[in-house]
Amino acid sequence: MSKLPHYREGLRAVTGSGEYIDDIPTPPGTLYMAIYRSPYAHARILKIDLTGVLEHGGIAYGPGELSKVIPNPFPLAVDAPIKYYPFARDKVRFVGEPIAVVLSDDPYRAVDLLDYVQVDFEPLKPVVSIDDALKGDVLVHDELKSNIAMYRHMKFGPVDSVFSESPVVVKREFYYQKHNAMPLETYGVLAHYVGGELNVWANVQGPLLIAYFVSRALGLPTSSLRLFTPRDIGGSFGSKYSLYPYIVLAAAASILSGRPVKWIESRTEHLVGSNSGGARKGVVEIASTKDGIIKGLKFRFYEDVGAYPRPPDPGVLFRVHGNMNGAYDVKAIEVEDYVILTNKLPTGLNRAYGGPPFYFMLEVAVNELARELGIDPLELRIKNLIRDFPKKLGDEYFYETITGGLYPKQDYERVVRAIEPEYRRWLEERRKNPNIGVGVVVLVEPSGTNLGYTDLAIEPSRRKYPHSGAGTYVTVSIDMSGYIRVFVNGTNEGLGHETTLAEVVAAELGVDPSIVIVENRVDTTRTWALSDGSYSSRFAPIVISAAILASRQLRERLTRLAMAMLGTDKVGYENGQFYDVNNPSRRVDIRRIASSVNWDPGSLPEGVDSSLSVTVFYQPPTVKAAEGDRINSSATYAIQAHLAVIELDPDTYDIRVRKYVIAHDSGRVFKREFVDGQLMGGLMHGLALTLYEELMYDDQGNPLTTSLDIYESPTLAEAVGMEVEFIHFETPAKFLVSEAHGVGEGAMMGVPAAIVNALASIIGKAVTDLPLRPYKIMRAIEG
Amino acid sequence: MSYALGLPRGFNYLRASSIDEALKLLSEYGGEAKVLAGGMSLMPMLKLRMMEVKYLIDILSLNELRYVKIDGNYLRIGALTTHNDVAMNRLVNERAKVLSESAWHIADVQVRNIGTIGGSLAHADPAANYYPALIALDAEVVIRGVGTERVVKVAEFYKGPYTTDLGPSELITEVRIPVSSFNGVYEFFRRGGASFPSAIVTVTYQEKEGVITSSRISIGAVYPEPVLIKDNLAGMSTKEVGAKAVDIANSIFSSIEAKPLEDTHALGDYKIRVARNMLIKALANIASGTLSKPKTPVREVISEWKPAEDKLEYVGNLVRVRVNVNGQWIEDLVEPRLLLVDFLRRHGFREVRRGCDEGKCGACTVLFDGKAVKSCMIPVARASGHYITTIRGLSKGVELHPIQRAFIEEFAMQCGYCTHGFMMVTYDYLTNIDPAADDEVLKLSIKNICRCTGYVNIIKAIKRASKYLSGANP
Repeated sequence: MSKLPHYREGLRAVTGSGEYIDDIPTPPGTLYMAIYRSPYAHARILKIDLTGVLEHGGIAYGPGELSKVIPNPFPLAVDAPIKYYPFARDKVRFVGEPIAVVLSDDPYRAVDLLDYVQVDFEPLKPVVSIDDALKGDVLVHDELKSNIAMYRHMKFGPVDSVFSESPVVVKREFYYQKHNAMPLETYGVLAHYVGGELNVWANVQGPLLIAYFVSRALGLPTSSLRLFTPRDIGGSFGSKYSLYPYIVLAAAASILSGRPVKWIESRTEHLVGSNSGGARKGVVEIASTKDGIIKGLKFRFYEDVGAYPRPPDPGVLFRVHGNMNGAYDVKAIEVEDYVILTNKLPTGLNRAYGGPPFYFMLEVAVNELARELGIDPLELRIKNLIRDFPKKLGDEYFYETITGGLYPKQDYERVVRAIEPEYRRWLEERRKNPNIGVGVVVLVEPSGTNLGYTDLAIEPSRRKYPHSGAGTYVTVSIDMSGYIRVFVNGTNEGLGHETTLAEVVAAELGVDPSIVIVENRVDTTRTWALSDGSYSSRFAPIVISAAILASRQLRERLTRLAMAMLGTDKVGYENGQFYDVNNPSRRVDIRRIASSVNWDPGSLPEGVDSSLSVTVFYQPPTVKAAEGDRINSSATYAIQAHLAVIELDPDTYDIRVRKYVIAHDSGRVFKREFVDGQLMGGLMHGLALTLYEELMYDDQGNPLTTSLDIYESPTLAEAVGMEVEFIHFETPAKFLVSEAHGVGEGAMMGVPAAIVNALASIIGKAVTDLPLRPYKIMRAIEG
Repeated sequence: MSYALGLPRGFNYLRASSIDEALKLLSEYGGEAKVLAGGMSLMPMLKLRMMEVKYLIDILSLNELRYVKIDGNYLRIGALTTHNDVAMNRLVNERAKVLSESAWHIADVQVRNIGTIGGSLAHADPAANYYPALIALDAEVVIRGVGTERVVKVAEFYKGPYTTDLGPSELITEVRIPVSSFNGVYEFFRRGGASFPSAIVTVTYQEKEGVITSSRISIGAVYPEPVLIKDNLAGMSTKEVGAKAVDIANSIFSSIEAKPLEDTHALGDYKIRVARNMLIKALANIASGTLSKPKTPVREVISEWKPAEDKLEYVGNLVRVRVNVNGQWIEDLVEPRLLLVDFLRRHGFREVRRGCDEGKCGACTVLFDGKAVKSCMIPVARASGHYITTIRGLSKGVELHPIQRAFIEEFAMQCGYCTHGFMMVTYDYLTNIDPAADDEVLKLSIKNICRCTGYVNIIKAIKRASKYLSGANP
């Protein structure tokens, strides 16, 4: 029998031994929480009567009790007089907004108790669409006096002259729907306030700002918050960042009841009340020469963030700030951003945060420019690619974008041309079968977020402090038996981080991965940074860099200890053993050194650092705070090209993907299977949002998407027969210790435009309103 | 308002061990009781708290209602015959291919393992798969009450969305189809992960020397009730049907006055257009004689439901259950509404996971007497006396089962939350449905949801497992 691949998380998965939030043992006396949520999109709360719950043996807390232990609203990223609490105080602002919680010692009975909560509402007219919101006759937040939570207008380079002088200007309008990348595991919290300490287990994505938000809302010092995640998280894709309001509710219930409180969200609650990416209306204008050289870009975005501008939003607009020129050499960019409030579920992180709506609009517009000029869309893109990277930082070269981004030097044309043979082949095929469509997209994939980009929501003159959080801690230690122990205050949502870290650290220390033990979970009782966690594809560029640095420092310590133990000033190292270069038969291995340090440290010479634990903090060298409205919004950027080949069914107007190709240069690859996994997963998330998934509301703001069936999530059946090909380039990104870019999001960023462009090649026009439901395609064809 | 769903309100659970007992219980509890056949529509409604019942009368162990046979002039199908048996049974495939096809399109392996033809007809979803096929086949249902038996045409049995001719204390016992030489075409369109189709078109016809003597066109999932057009092809040659397909289809749809159904994905005008296109395609296929569809596996034996050995014992409002999990009997006193998934998790089988409220995602799949079911769709009381298997029951100690090995070798997981359900349904699929893992059959069978992998590696793992189980060495 062949040896199993080294895949730790995979072994847990096939043996059913993963540990997820619902598997965490509950302390005795645990109460189960159920949440009473608003049935109205917009209404005043007149009266709340919880006595029925008490009469039926339950416990209930409404806004009155909750306010006592949740004194503060969450901090916001926008400069606006809006108060966001985890429950409605006087007015409800979206269907599903929590109003009260009920508690029982049985989860089924907790849900039953919701029947006895009585609330009287005075329904108000809801604000449902972006257009409704802009009219402003009904206000989601009266204090704001409009429904625009933020407006920013930024110009970079000679935009006006470029647009007035360019012979060609293409302008397109777009709509990108509200959707949720939707992990299969829902939210869960176990909160226990005891002895003045708040212990929280939750399936969050990292300690991050979550710990800060929770302690702020509850008015507790961060010193009394102990936040833990289970070992495994059943997917997140950004979604579980928005768990913090529910952590606060469960914590409040525990504080008020004096008991441990557990809450597991239902799927319906997840669709109605958890999190989503925002709907966006966009207008893109491209100024170009007649032969297709792009001279300038104008963007106008209306981002619908739902009922509250919940942090990190409106970061969704700024995550791509440094790369708004895409892969093209464009030096004039204007952007107008509106953050719109409506009576819908608040938004938050969602896989590829900000990338899919942005590249959907940019890359369809670029394609339309090519179609309008009659230039092959792949050739037009190649013409505009960045070729010179003149800015020198350290020993490396970069292209500095007009908005402040720093693209490391890569051969963009080589990567883009890699899809060309397949592109040409399918164009031939299209001549034979007019229902085949071919679409391309080129983008740069940002990775390793600079948390400082959220500052762009505020006018430069009104910003109080600079921000540039991006770094991470990693600890590498050796225990008494010589096992290597790695600890990261991150999370495992299935990206293979434990396996990768074991292999990376083992390679640095020259040992077998089997002796490397990795713990990758949140534990705020250990060292953590505000930016620690699993998000923005930061693992490869940042976390691995820290792990490598820590391993190298540890190896340096081992070397000095070996020199001392061998009594020589020159040691060599092979297969986990140090040897005296002058007398190679004299050897000491890591295990022996560890043993001495633990059992007989008194024997070690004075002055040698004998600590076998190293903690490193790594901040990528490119990440700095904003200067005015220019910021390098991500640690790094990597080139990527997509080819989508689709077939349109003329009877049903449905689209089937025949072949999908992605070529990219993600720098050093640590584990090919995991890189492929990220591309395949991102591709399917992209297809899901492009073809199927939308969180829909009726004109009263009632959510229509309340089940998976209505969400229309693709199942395994939709992937059968789809051919996928990835072309990898591996130019080391030498300015990062790991030499690797992130790979988790680019696929999803490119899919919407690739599919829309492929469809346009069949029907002669771009359908710019997502998702591409067959009835929309029918109408586009039949008029 | 509650969006905390997925857990049903309380009910009492009763088991019938004979048709007469079932009828007696029904007449005793009348409007307060609901018959629980497969429960694949009823359980989601209870879990989503869209309805409430006082008594559930479980009839699943009435094995006398599981058969497919030719008797007299009828192909007779017992009401509790499962969708998988309707899909795969040799007689149904030979005599009523369109019915077999309609069953293959129902949900997934897990639902087809337990859902029944009688249950589906009684539920009468306007988008249900069987109705257009059965109406085109001129089928009838046999209905029994206490001391009564009557026969109703399927076309008349359906009274409107979720309403039928079935009385509150009656049971469907049989579906019967006249044995004739009807040829047929079944066209079906469902999109993406939606459970229900946007449009179904069935055309059946008899021909003599190239001329059609009678025809039945049935359109489902488009209007509030299935539409039947009789004999409008009669007198035409099959060639003529092909030449006039567009006109025939246009005249049919322009003569239908009913307002089309609409849902969030398919607007009314779209549904009609798709149904029209599908009808044109069906007629063209009749003309060209291309009626054959992908080859689906066929089997002879009808599956039985193992009758429980023990009587149900109530202790106050609680019921005593005894479930064999991976070879070990586990006893507990539970509320009748407790779902099997929660029972298993409470007893330490945490590999079984919940991913949705409606019984769709498949994360909670286990083997129930050897067949894959979604454990969130089954009250544990129903599992009492039965055998449940999780992955720990398939692997031997530390030695991995070939399916586990195939999944890890293909890196067919990321977060791992869906993996157990996928492996369990793969086991049933490769063991009992399609050992070869043919693309077309796979597409109709495994519809679990994974949000991480994009499914590509899971498909590879299923194919690799298929090789291992058929003897290839790992």
